[in-house]
Amino acid sequence: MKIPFKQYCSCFIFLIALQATEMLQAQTKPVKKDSIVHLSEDLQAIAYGKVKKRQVTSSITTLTGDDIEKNTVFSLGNVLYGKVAGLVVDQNSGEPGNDLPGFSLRGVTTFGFARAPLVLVDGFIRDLNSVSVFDIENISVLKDASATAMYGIQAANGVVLVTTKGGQEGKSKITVDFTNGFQSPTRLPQFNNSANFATMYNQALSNDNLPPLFSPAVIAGYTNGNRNLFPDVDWLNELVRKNAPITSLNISSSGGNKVAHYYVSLGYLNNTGIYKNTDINDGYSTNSNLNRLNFRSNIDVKVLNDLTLKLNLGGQINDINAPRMATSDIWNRLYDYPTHLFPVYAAPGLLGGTSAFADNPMGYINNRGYREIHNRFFQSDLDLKYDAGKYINGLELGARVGFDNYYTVTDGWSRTFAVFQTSRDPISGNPVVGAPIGANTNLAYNSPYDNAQNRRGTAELYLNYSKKIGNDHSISFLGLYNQTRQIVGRENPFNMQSMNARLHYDYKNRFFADLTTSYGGTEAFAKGKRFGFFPSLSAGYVLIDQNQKQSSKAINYLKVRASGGMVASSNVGTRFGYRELYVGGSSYSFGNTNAGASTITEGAIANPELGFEKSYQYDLGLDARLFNQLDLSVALFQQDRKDILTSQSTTVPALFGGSLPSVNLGEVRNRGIELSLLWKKQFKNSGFFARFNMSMIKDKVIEMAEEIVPAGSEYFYRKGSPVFYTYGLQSIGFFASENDIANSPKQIFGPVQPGDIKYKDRNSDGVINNYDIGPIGNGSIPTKELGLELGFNVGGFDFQIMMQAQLDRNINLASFGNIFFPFRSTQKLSTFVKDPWTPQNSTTAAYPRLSTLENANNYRTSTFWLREGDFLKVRSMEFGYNFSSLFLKKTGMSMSRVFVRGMNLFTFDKFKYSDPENITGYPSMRSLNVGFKIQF
Amino acid sequence: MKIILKSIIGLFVVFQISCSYLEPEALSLTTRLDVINNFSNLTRLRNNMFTSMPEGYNAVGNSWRASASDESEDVNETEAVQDFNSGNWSIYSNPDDAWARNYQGIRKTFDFSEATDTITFIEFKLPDPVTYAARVSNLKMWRAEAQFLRAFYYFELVKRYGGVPIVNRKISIRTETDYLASIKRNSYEECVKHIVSLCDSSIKDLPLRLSDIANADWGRPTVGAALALKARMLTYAASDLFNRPSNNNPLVGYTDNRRLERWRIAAAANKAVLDLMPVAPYSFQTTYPALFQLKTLRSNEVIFERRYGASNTFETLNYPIGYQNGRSGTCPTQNLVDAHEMRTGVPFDWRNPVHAADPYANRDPRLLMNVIVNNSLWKGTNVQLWEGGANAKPLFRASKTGYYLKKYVDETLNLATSQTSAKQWIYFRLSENYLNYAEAMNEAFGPNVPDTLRLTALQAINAVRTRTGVAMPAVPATVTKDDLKERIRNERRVELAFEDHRFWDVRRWMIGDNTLGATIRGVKVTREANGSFRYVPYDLEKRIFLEKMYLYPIPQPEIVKTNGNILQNPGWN
Repeated sequence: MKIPFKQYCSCFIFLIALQATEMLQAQTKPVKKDSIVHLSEDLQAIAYGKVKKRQVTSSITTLTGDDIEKNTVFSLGNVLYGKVAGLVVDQNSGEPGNDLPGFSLRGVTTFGFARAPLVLVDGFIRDLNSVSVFDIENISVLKDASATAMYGIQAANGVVLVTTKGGQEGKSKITVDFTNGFQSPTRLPQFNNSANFATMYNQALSNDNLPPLFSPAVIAGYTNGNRNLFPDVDWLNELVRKNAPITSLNISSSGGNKVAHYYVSLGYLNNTGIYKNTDINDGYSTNSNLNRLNFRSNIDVKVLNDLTLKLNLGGQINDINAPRMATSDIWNRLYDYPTHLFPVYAAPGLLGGTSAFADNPMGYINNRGYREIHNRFFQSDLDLKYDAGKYINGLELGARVGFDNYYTVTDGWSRTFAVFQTSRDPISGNPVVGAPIGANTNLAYNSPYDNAQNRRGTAELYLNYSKKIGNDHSISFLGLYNQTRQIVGRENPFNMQSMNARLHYDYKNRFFADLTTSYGGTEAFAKGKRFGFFPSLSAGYVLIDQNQKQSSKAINYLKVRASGGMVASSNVGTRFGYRELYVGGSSYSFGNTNAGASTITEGAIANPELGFEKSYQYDLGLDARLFNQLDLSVALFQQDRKDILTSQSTTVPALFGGSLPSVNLGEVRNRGIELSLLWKKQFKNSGFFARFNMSMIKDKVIEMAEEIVPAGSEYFYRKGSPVFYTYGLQSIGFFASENDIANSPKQIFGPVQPGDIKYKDRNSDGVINNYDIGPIGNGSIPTKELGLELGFNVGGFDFQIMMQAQLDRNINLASFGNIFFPFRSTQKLSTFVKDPWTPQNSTTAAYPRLSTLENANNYRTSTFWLREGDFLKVRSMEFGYNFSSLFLKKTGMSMSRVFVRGMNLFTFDKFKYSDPENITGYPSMRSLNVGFKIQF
Repeated sequence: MKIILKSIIGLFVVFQISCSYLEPEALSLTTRLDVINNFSNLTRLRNNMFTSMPEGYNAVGNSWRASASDESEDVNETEAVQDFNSGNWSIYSNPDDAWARNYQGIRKTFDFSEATDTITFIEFKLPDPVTYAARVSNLKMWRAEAQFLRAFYYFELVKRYGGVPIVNRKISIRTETDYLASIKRNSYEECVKHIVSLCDSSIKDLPLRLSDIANADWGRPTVGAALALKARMLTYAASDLFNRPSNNNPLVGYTDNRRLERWRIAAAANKAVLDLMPVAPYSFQTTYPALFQLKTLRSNEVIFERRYGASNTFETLNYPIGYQNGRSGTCPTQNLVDAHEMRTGVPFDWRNPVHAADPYANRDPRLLMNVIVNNSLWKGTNVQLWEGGANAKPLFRASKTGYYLKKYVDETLNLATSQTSAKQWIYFRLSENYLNYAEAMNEAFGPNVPDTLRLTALQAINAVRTRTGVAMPAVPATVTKDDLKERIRNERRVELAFEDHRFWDVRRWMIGDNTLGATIRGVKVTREANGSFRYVPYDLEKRIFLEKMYLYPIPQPEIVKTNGNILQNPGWN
């Protein structure tokens, strides 16, 4: 797609001209209230309810819908980068329809099964991706035990509450949002061309004491010869587009009167993938493509004076198109296929290839058929609330039900293709195309190979009561019963049940306290272990308030708060572990045909004691407003995760002979600090804001069943280190000579020769083996995360930029051998490999000697392969113009805005080779968009 | 307030009523009762007892114990088995650690025995007497299999570690953790007794004749298998390693001086196997190489085997480099090649110029059946093992010794098209019992005394040497006891090469220094201008063997987990 930059530019010149005339009219715009401290009387979403911000006694961060809308993303999770102190969001693949980021709240808290926070949309457990960014009223991140306690057995990893928009009393509004733009990969790995490859390959062969493979004539051919005989194919360039279009359109309407409110919306989104030449087939495309239609209808009605009914319906239809072959296989071939062996096409229409390299990526993407993935979400919930105030003052009763359905089916159409090898005619020297290898077949339908239906039904009954006692005291109480059943495909249904209560106490609107408890259970554990009781207590005190005398010029508001409590995670990775079960075993051959006989064997021994992971969480917080313009919020926390499942093999002697159950023995401690700042000023015609947040979190394994190691190698243990710390060998340079090898401790991983990596004998036992492995650096999860948002507005123009940084993280190149270990089996030479060891540069080399063989000594995790993975990314940047009311009046609109927006535009890091978050596979995307928003 | 309390109580009532909500439903899971009450599950539980039996091919990583003995050297330096040769194995790492695997096997046999303790099939007795009778006799046989397999698993432990803890039931992890941690090693003598008694009691209900086994059950143990296991156990028990003079550690061997009696018992046990020959019937396979390419067939020489479905992993690993997909793998040593006598029965000698000029001519025919030598035929072409040849150095992964493995390798496969073939691994065969017998009789009575067993040591070894298709000259009756001892050891080395005997034999004979710790040799082959070959043996690798390595170390974590109640073998720490 070509981007009509000229048109966009002229458009903006027009806008500036328009603005100039506007300035003369000297309009002032309403200032939107926005504050992170609990100062205002604004309502804050909490578990099962909303309270005034100052009344909140726990750690909660809320994002508003306005924040979220200003992102062009297809998965809601992608708006959260760096937005919430303590919420670490990692970007993964940029594949259309498959670009969910990973989440963890307040760092790493467990080495157990589930680490992601619980997500609820409108109070029911739902996929974060099932909601459109335009339908969000706000997102609240509940961080401590007090905030999450109502979710008891599922709360240990934190909770994210998403609330969708509702209607307001007033004139009906219609809003139209439109964006259009293009995406391109942030960074792709780069590889050497054929000539460099051949030269270096010869060097590697010579290192392996093998004769050279490429003669000088051949290398010269790769430089400037006939490309059919001396190919030089940059597969990424051949098959990956520089840009791919994205479009989104959303129309919503809201309004209401005294009896009913409504919000309805309809959205469409299209995101095309980045494969090239995907339209060569008649009647179908092999490109990745996502088409999404979504709708939402939220209605609340006062059925009677004291009876309110609220009905939310939402749905989504995703139709995804993709090449028939698996995405990871495609990218492995794009990264691994040699440049020098065959051209893309041996002759017009005939794909190049050899019998060993028959998956010509051009054909692999475009001539193997295609997939269609269809998935549908449907969500519905109904809330019936009765105000029983006429019987008892302050009493409210209610019932809620939610029912969701998710269905996905993948259809495939596949075919195969032939490739042709080019050889050189010995007489004429011309390229000759050989016989086909493989065959071109017709497209054939594969029956659905992925077909799953999930359902979830939830029912809740609740009771609210609030009462003022005297002038100074007031209490409110919430009691709630919840039962949930989830059916995932053919698995045994997942059931949960809980009984929750919260008592809130308020003294003079200055001191607040909450006692929250949950008694909940799941069928995953044995009777007697199914239910757990999870209490938490929190309190907050407003020390300084602007309306009171203590308020000074410097400090306008100051609140301190503290909480402590215990919540759990029931998703421990195993269900029914309390039962004695038999499972299929390996087969054994008998009889006159050596046929494998099936076997049945004892499963893991039953552990009736199996139970929840428990998290003891403590939180201290402070919220303040300074100088009437600076908001500050700080939290200190500690989380002790206990009863993490571990193996018993380190305590039970092997002569027991059975397969051991998991036991609740592991423990992880995690401590951290979070800081949020908001500085905001609005003048008559202009304004600015800066929002900063930061978290520093460190975790530590307290107990983890580990096999014992020899004395002197205790550094091998993970106990005392962070859960995802990198363990490996310590590299101390390269072997300089045979003499050096002979005089160094023996490295047992494989034969070594000069130029191979030399390791430190950590335990000084004269041998380098696995017991020399110890902690060498951070893992890929950062311990520090920062977010900075800056913005200003002048007249009708506004600008904002959002940056996220992750610090103290490492990239272990040994995990991505297909890129960083050249020549191994069939691999290419990436441009990352610079200055490899040779006898001549032995003191300055930056990379071990090249080898064409699997080098078990070099290719293993060590400090040599560990790279700093810190980065700063500009996640979004937007420049917009709001049309003046003068202009609006003429057109009958109430709001009109145009904007240019970039997503993931820049990355600053030390790694510099490929995207520091997403090294291989379908790359992460950046995008540039233009759009408008109008409201009638 | 009252109303609130009532409402809360009301909510609790709802909660109580719905408590059955969390009872798991429609569980598609198999419980112990589902196994006991379902005959087809019971047969699967019977099969399960076999799955911890030792592997034959690729028993250690992608290699085998042969390459940790003087039989061969693995071409790949990074194979785990090389740790044996470099002395780089310890209480923390042992490439062939079999402790857990065999106790798993033992638990499987108890699982089956205990599951069937109370099964009577009485419900069939009246309505279906035929099924009743069949099932009752089947179950008896299966329970005997459990005893045999348990004995087998114990033998696997005892030959490695010496005396090991004898477990006599399926231990409960919930109620018996203290017992588990307090368990001690039984003495070597107790372990031998236990294995022998398990074999003896299994014999009663195992099938006697090969024809008693249904076609679908080939590969299951018979009386012959139980007797052969007992015979091997007793032969080992009478050997040097477990009868060290002045030994006072009952965990690693006998502490008495009744060794001669043990040789007699061993001889009798082996004779019991030989006595089955007319009954079972057992007899020598007429062509020696066919024994190792039986695929799905049954040989009367094989007493107990492990069957494998079709595969080509072993061939891919062991075909010579230069043959499609071959990766060389096992390189037989010059040491083994030299152990093959001349056709005339005299030892091969490099100092003899006639021998040295054409070292593969006029040799024991088993040499060319066990080993691929230079210029011999393999898959229709002559193997080029000379320096620069199509299958030799300096090619990457070419043989280090100048030889490739032939025994057990299926020559007929086309690896380029991923052709596969069924496999058998021989656990027991007749030759071994003849040689065990010869060894025991010679120790007990010398070469020519038949005693009451009516077969002399000399007759036994010669039965193997003169078997059809091998036909080596008999060892003459004039041989001395000491000479015969060496001849028997050499015969065993050749006849049973690559059948997982040598690694254990040199240990029980305590000749590790000259075998496991010996210098491994290869041969350098040069092709002369006239097309003839020149052979020069050379030293390839000096291996490390220490006294303590006669027995494996107990894995250190097991000692820690039992609070030191399990004692370590001498020398290991």
